[in-house]
Amino acid sequence: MSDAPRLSDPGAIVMSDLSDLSDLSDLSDLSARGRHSLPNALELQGICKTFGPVRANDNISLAVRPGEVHSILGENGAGKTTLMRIIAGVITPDSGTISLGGQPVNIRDPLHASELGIQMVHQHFALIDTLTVTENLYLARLRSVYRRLDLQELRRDIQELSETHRLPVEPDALVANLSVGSQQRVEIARSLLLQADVLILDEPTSVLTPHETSDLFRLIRRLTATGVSIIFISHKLSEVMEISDRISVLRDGRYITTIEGDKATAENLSEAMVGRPIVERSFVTGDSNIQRQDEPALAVREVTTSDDSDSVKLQTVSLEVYPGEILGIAGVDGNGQSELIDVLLGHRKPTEGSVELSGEGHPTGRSGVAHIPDDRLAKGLIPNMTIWQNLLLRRADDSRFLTKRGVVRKESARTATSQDLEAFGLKREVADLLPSMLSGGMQQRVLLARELTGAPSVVIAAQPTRGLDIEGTQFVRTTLDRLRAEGAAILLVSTELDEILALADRIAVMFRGQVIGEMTNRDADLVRLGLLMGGEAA
Amino acid sequence: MTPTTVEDRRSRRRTTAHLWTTFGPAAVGVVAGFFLIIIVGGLLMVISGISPLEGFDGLWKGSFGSTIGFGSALLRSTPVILTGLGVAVAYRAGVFNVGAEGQLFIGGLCGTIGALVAPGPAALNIALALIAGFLGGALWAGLPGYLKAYRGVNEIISTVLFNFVAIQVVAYAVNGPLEEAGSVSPQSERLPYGIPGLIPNTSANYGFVLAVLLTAFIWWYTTRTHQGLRMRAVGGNPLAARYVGVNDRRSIVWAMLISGGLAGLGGAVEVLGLHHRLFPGFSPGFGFEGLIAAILASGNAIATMVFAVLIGGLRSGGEEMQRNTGAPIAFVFIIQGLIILVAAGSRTRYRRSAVPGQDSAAAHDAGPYDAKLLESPESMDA
Amino acid sequence: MLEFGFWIGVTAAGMTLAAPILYPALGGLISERSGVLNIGLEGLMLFGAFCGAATGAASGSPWVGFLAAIGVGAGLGLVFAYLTVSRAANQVVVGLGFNIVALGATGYLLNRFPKTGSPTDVPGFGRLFDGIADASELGRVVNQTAPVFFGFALVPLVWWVLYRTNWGLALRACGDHPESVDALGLNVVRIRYEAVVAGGMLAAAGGAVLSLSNLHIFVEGMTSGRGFLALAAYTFGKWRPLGTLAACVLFGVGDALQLRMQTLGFSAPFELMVAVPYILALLALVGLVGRSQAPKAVGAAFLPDRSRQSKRAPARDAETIRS
Repeated sequence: MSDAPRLSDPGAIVMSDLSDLSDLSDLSDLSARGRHSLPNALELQGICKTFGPVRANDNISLAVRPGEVHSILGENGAGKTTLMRIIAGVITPDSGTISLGGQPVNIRDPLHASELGIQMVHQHFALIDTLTVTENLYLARLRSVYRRLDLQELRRDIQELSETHRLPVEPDALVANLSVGSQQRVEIARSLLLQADVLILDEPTSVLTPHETSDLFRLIRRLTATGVSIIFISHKLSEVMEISDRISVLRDGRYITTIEGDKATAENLSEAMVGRPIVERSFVTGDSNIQRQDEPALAVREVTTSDDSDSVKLQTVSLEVYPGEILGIAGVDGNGQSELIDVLLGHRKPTEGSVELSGEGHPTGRSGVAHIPDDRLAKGLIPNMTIWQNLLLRRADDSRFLTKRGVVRKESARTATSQDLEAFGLKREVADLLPSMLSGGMQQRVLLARELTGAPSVVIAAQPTRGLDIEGTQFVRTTLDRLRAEGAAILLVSTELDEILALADRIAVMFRGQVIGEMTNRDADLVRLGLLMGGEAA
Repeated sequence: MTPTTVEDRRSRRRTTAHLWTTFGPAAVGVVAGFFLIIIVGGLLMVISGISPLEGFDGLWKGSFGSTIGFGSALLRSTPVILTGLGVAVAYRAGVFNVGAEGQLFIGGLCGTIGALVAPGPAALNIALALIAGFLGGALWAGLPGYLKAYRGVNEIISTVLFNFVAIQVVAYAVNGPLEEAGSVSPQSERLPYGIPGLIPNTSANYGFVLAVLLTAFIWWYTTRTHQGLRMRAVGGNPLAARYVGVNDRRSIVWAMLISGGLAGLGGAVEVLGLHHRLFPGFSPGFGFEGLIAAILASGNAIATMVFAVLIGGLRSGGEEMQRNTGAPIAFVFIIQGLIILVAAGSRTRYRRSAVPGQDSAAAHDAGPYDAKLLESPESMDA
Repeated sequence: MLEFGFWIGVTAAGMTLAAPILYPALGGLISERSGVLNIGLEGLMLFGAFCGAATGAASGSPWVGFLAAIGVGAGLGLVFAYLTVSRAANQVVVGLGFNIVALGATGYLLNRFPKTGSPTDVPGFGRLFDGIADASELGRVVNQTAPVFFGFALVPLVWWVLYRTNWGLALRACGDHPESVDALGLNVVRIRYEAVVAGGMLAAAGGAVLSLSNLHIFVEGMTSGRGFLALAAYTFGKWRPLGTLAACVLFGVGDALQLRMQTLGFSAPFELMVAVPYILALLALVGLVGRSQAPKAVGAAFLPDRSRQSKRAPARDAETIRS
């Protein structure tokens, strides 16, 4: 039971993009009515949401037309997630109105939002991995818990859905065994099963290969042709420009502007996002500056790991990083990068091959090998300790504040760590806070302070700018560049190709546990890298 | 724009909130306990035709109101302190040691064996016996610790099961190999030496002093040394600890060894200090009382000791009350249980794990839910 | 020793001894599958045993006693659920607290209602098939009391509920990924409440089986660890109804065997025999007896999204939680 007219009625189907419709010839109800004559699928007016002193959303108004792909662009911290949570019913706004199909609605909770036709596919999927796909979808569609289990009808619906939208889904597969791309398709299937009129996709491409991304974009086109409106959230300008009909930009909690898809450029978008045009600094000064020494600081020689159900098997991986250079590892998450790092750090023993690290042994020693983990919450900071205690963990031998027996001299420890924090742009007072009190960007800076203080000779940086705003991203890149100039050997693992291209002297691509391509920065380009990332040797 | 202007103002409020989160339930427990004792206890006594005044008089005298009572309270709380410390140490390392009772039993067994085979004089014999008790308990906990660290076995379930095996092992030993010849009830031979008394004319012994010293040491170790810091790191986030270079698996095993050792020591002290012989079921649940003390104290060593003493006092007071007025010991159980339930239920419901507001890390990185697991040990250096 | 009659006797006794463990084992299984570990099964059983005996004595009918015990179990289960689910209290501590209160309360109440401790006053369930038992040896095995039959009948029922109803599916999901279930719009809190209450009812019923069926009396502390044995049973049974049944029967038969061992001159140490069920459960836990996987979210409190403002989920806005 919903308050708004449902836009999936046959009469409301509109066309947004004719280019990919050859496969939709079986949809008989295509209407040539233009979009503009229909009420907006979703309209926000004056949405405000404050958390304490922070105005997460400040008087935001925007409209999404039926059957369009409308992107919300903004830096991390701009208010996109809060706004989406409001639309999805997870939180309610302090003021402002939401209308669906021209009718104002009051979205009470996610269930209600779902009934109104709003669905969201989150960055981290809400799937139960001990159950099958069908069981998951069944739970999503469950109305009454006090009934017999009956999966038959659902199976038929899944089949139908799968065919109609060309959405391949394996109904009896255990979710735990599915690839990330497949899991995402299950989430989308869920949204369609629940008859979404408005589908919010939150950073959907961060976990996909370029090939899977194109598949997703084609799917999006097909969906919009059936009248579904898609809200696409991303921070990647290139993708947003490719897929969107219109792009709305948020900055600091406020709505800035909406730009038509075909009129969007990197310049006007980034200017709207940040308030000034951004010049992507390139740090690579050309390989003539690299002075190759005889010995690499970091070397992986023919490393193979064992076959394991929870991890990707590495197969004869060989890499070298010399002092004063950055080697970038490109590739979609889940192709062996984490396993490679674990082998480098000694957390995983290879069955064949060897690892050499010159650096004075790992972490609790002095600066030797620095590691910036790709997940600052899960692998980075300890949640129940203050920041200075977190930093202290890395300094087991520092006699500035540790006696020989290992007793901590609290005051000098705090002072010393505060200084380390300042060097990374944080105020001294941060030292006494808990990690949970800091934003993502600040947490990342804390991690950098922990690892990079003291001129490490080897740095393994995994997704170092994940979740950071532009300023933070620039800071990290500048830091890595500086360390390189000071002679560190840096292994940079990143899913962001622009980042790799901006920083790395040499680039290797990992796919399914192997290094399938290696080249210098000069020889690299997006197309070639994209192909390799997708597994196709160039 | 300096990135931290927003947070400074709130850090003081947060610190207070943090302290409240850590010690709030404990405080509530104490206050609730006080009221519960009076209300429920009084009610029960009235119903049973016992004068509440006499009853409470007995309770107080038997716990902290008289020298004898004080002594027996100390005696009664010693094994609870030790097991509590053990559980607290494990808790800080992120391990839930529900097996303190079993470790205590094994410790008592090993302490008995140690006392029986070790040579005199008294000091040497007792020392060796206590060490044996420590080692026995340590091994009994080390096994489930290893299983958790290296095999991912849920330690709550495994330690509970180990408890029962331990109790049976002790019963077997006392009925068989260690049985005192010619005795009617199953018990071991009388041990040659006992822990010397602490306060004259009371039953308290130096075991209490040992417990206090160990409390201080454990507190110092966990809060003031780098090793303790690393252990707490494992308790906070084992994966992150690993990435900082801490061997999290080894830390878990070490923590369990220490934990079991302390509980085992509790058993050895009880046998050597009070009974001077081993018999089945010599523990009325010390291990569980210690666990409760440790959890209510959120793993803080000193708070654990305080709670353990209160629990011990409640029991010894209850016994005096029973002698005095004929009030059944069941009253004490009821009150003790209710206090535990109220204190446990008074933990603050939500653990703050994100700055509410602009796309903070949790909101952005943690997906659609900010739900976080509750059982992460606190570690403000208090 | 290996006469037929001996083994029949062992099996028959084994069934009788298995029943009081089966009920709480199934109850604990349901509860734990939903994510709530209930170490208080022992205390719940004790309450059930007392209540069953007391109301039985007062009313003269074991059935009344049995039903009263189930009712009390439901009420206590509600309290347990409130503490562990709504208040997010530590599940182990709450369970232990229940055990302690139960010991005290039942001991005290026994004093107040001494008839509960008198076998002449406490009614008992009679065995149903005395005729068949007299007629044939095998008949002795099926000659059990009504609650024993109910207990065994519960197993397929629990299986059906867990695997063939929506509730069961949602419940299993709650035990592994409560956050995802919550995100799908299902009420995790309510499901857990229901599971815990069901567990309480079954545990108390198991206690009543002890005091009304196996024996016709209530004795202080009569459960003597059976609540924990139930935990071992469903652990050994790998959190599955059928496995749990097998474990309970195994433990029951083992118990019966051990009781008879002495008469046969076997001097296997009785205490170690008692330890065998727990050792078996440990072996299953470690995976030496096939793979074993506890529900993933066991023991952890479920905290719904703090910033949710919904009447359906009992969550409150971040601001009101400022401690």
